[in-house]
Amino acid sequence: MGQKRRKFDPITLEILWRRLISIVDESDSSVARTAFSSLLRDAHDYTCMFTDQKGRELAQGSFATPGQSGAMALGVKNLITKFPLKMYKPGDIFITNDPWALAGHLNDVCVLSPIFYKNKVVAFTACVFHHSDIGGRVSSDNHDVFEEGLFIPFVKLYDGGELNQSVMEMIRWNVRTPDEVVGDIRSQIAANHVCAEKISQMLKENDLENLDDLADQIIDRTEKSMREEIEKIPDGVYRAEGVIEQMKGQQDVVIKAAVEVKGSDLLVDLDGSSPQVNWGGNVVYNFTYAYVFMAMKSMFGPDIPNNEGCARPIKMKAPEGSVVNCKFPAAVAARLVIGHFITEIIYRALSGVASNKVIAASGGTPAQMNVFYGRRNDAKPWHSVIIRGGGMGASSINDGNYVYIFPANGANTPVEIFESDTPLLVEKRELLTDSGGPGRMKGGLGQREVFRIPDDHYAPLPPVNLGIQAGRHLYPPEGLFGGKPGAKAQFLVNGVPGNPFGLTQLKPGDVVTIDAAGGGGNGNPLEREPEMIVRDVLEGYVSLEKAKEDYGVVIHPQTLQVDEQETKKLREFLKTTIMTSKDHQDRN
Amino acid sequence: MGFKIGIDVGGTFTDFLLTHEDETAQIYKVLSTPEDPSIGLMKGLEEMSRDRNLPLPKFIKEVETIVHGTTVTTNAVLTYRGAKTGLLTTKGIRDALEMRRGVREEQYNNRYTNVEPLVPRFLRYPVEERCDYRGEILTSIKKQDVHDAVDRFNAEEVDAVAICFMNSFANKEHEEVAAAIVREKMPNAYLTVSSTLLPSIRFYDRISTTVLNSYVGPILMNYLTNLIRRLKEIGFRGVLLIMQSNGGVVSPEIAIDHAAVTLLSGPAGGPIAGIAYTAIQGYKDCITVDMGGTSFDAALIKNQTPLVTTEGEINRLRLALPMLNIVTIGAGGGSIGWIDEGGLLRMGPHSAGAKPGPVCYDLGGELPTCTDADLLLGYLDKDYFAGGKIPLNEEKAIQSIQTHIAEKLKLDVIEAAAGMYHVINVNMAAGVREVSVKKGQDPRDFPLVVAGGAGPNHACMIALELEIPVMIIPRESSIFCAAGMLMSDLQHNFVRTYPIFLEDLNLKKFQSLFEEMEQEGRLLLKSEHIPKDQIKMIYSIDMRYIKQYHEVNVIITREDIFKGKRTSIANKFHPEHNRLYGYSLEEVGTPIEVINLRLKCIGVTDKPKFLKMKYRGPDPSKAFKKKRRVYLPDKKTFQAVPVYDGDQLRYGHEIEGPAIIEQVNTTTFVSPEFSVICDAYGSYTMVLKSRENEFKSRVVQ
Repeated sequence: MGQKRRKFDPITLEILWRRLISIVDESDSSVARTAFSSLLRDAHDYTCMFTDQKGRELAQGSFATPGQSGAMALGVKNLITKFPLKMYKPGDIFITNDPWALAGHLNDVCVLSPIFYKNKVVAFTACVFHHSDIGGRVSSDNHDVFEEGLFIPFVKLYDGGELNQSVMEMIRWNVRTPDEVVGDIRSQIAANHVCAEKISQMLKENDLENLDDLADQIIDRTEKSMREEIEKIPDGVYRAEGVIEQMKGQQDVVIKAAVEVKGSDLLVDLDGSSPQVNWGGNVVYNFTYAYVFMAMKSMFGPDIPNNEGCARPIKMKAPEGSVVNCKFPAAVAARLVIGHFITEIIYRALSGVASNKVIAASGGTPAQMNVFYGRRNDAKPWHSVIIRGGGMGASSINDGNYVYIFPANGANTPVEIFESDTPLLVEKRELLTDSGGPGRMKGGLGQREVFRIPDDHYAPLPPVNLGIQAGRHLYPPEGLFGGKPGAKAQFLVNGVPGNPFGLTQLKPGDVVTIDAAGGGGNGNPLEREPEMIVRDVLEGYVSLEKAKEDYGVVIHPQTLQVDEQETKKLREFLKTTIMTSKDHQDRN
Repeated sequence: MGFKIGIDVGGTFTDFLLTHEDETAQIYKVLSTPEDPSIGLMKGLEEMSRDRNLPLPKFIKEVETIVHGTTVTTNAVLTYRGAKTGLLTTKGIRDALEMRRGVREEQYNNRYTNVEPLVPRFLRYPVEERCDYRGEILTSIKKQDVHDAVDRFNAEEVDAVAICFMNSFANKEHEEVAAAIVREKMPNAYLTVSSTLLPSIRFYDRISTTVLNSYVGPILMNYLTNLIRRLKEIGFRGVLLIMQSNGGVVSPEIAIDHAAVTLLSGPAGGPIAGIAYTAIQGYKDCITVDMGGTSFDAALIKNQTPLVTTEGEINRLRLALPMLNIVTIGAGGGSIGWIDEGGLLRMGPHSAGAKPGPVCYDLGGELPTCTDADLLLGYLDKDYFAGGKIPLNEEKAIQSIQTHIAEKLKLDVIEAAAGMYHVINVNMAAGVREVSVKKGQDPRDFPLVVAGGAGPNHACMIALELEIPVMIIPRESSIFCAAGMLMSDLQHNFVRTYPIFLEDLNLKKFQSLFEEMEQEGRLLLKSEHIPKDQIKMIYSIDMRYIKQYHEVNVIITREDIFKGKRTSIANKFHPEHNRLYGYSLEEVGTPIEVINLRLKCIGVTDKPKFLKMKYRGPDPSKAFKKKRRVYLPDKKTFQAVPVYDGDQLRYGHEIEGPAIIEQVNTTTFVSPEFSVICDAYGSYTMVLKSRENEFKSRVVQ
């Protein structure tokens, strides 16, 4: 047994591979339909995947968010290989939310099961879920992970099919919404069951002993396609750095990236990045890797189904104790605020050698997350989460789109559902004129959302709490190749700038305005087709004034016709002034 | 008694099924005329009258019902050629249409493109007004905003208007105020009011559906008005009915007002036909699949009711009206085989379509298709394709598969063709999983009804892949949807959103909402001349455990509503959740939330009666044509197998696989694992040999 290696012809391989993906998608959709927490169902912030018995990722759900999926591939492998295979028993189910082992914060809880076939472990299936509450103090400004909630080490939730009630109780008594959290854990277990059952069935039908040979061949093929694309990039070391704003009084965080391309291998070295911070923005190694991976996957193999083969050509080094590889017990709850930036820094580093594959900086980097909670006028608690995207950066061939979370992903919360779930009113959720960074290709538009806390007979009890994770309030998303930055993000309470880092306490009658940033432009805005500007103006994406100021296009306010002569003149003038100022800079 | 005609306008062909009580049903097919589909439709009617040696007016007088499935609205959306539409919406959220739900469907595509909204931003007009989710008015409507917008719409020559205000599911007052102004100042515009069309919660779902309705409304109105006029001119005095996406039919007048109900009417006839063909053998459940030239549609039917979804999409635009849950994938006779970057064989989703078509059609197609592979493997006869009307060029097919597939994979040409056949079958099986396994249903428990020109050739392999033991192939399988249309009842769906905990439910309000819907339903059916005793009402509630996102639709009885038992409603919810998702939270005591109340109103129509055949015993030798060499996938070799003339097979005839059954428009491949028995209505029932005893008795009673 196991001696003769089975070689699959291309047709069989294709068929079995599709089958594996459909198995994972099935468990994925079982989660989607039964999930409780709003964040998860709306943001699709969960990942189902499975690995072979060596922990090599074979398939993951098609909609997994990049942060989790990339981090999980690493994390699950590390967990599994910590123990010898013989330690696992049929009916075992493990649970953990160790941020360092997995996806970088306590809310991501992983349920992992070994899959047995003919009395041997043949695979592992794991489902990670972003739980909307994990206890602790809900804020970005905690100083260590202990403040952030319940830490579940790698423990058995089921031992040989028997539920470990004490673990469940321990979780139940440490979270604010126990029914929701426990309900979601049940969904995760159900998803693993679906996966396990289908894998055994597939092995049986195809007369396989295990997944090893299949895994080898699927992974090799995937790796090969990735490498073929990477090879097209000239060898060299390409550098970029990103500056990320911090709360008042603290120094900016700097992330430095050196991307070494050598044949078909990529090595990203983050040496020189800032040390870890004393709030929740710290990123664990896995999560940093996930967004390096996102950058590379989107450039070199966006359509290839994810498995270990995609990640093999991509290596990463990050100094221990830095903000991109923080040490226990750093606070990590708001890791997306810094972590999401990694992708655009990699893009910037490679923009010179892969200009068609990258996009300018995005307003949805980082994703904005708002946690609202409090008590209704009848003292009943309420709690809701909104995630928000901005304009995507423009590419060399199309305008940036909107309004999206990028490089992460997720849906907005439907306005009517939000209003029926909370005592708040959504007064506005609209695209923001002129927020897209000017460029030959324009950055995507940002959005403005306005919430009102009623002060009539439905007014909730004060305070209404608002926890925010966001960025771009100081530094806008930059453009590329002469494109201009998009508009910055904003957070206003009753028209006055608030603190977008801490917890904000609001009272009835307050009005909160939140802007998500626009995307950066790509290319010189003076080269944008005037006809495109006319459409932008007609649609209210760009104002008449900005058409003139940023793009040098003069449009008649009534007829919306381009004044070609004036436009030509203005564009000539603007070109020379920009040139002169550039000359001026160069000389300095 | 007169004729009944089902008409399904497809991309390539317009299919007709002509039925009469005293005759065998007859199939007609004419080429579709996309510029004006009614031209092809009239051509078909002319052909029928010619076959009967009757002048058209005389024939048409004897036609009592025409049921018509149309793709004019579908195509208008797919090609962005709908009406110029203006939108009135609440100030502050006019971009909901464009922002959609904010998910990037392609995770790793950094150049992801937005979906172009059907109404451009400059025609989306904000109106100052507001009410909350309870229906309480917070800001009165500013009528001047509506007047200004309407003036602009008139200046822009807008043809259709959509009105959708925030929380209007709870209070329609403001939408009605706005509608009155639009009607007065734009008397010719097509108008859709969201609280009338779809008064349910979830703003994007409602606004997108409302806009879709206005966008296609004028198109459908023009088409149907024109069609009705033409039919009248030739003397048609019967009833014309239009197929809806929900599997029911509707009068043209109502269809015009709710144009969006026809957006996916094309394949909706299939599942209905499936119910009829399987009911003959006493089945209540089935899965239907329909494999045409470019696409493969799969649907699941449980308890004679097709699964319905309210989360449908067309061209990435949300359509939240109830529609049959039909999964469509790009797999058909024209699907092109290719080798991907990783060196793997793929089939579709690109299709050679009708032009240039498969290589063997010899109409200029160069890339190898599924049909070309079927020809090489002997499943198609090059001299008897379309009854011999289209000669197939085998040489060219071989050459193409050799160059594009075999050489690249280092296989011989037959291995390559067999690979193509296998891959597309696996793709289709995945489509079936989508409608079954993903919905918590085990496909092995369902008979598979196989239709479409290309379907019966692939049926056995799909069934084997899914371990389905029994298949039913209707004799009319090539015009399956047209048949289904004739079997559909009138149907109207209503919804009211009433978000509340089940335990806090105000019974009075609950009952009055259902009564309101009942009344509307009765009125509509009355306008369609349905007598009271032909009306059926199906009541259901969308419910969920508190904080879940997705609701479960639970059917309840009239008693549950009017005898006021909350517990009986809860008792129906828990097991349904358990059945669908494998657990219920009954014992934990998690509260249940009510979201939507729904009513399905059915007006039962007269169905065509199919002629029952006489039992002729098991011997099929009269239908035997010849022997032909075909490829047997399990043995990976060719073998000479008997070919039968499908039209000559009679009730009771039995055939052992491997064999081929030929008809003019379809070929059925019976693989060695199956045997066939012809049922009383002429359907070929294929049964796994090892389980013959279980199923044979259903066919021969």
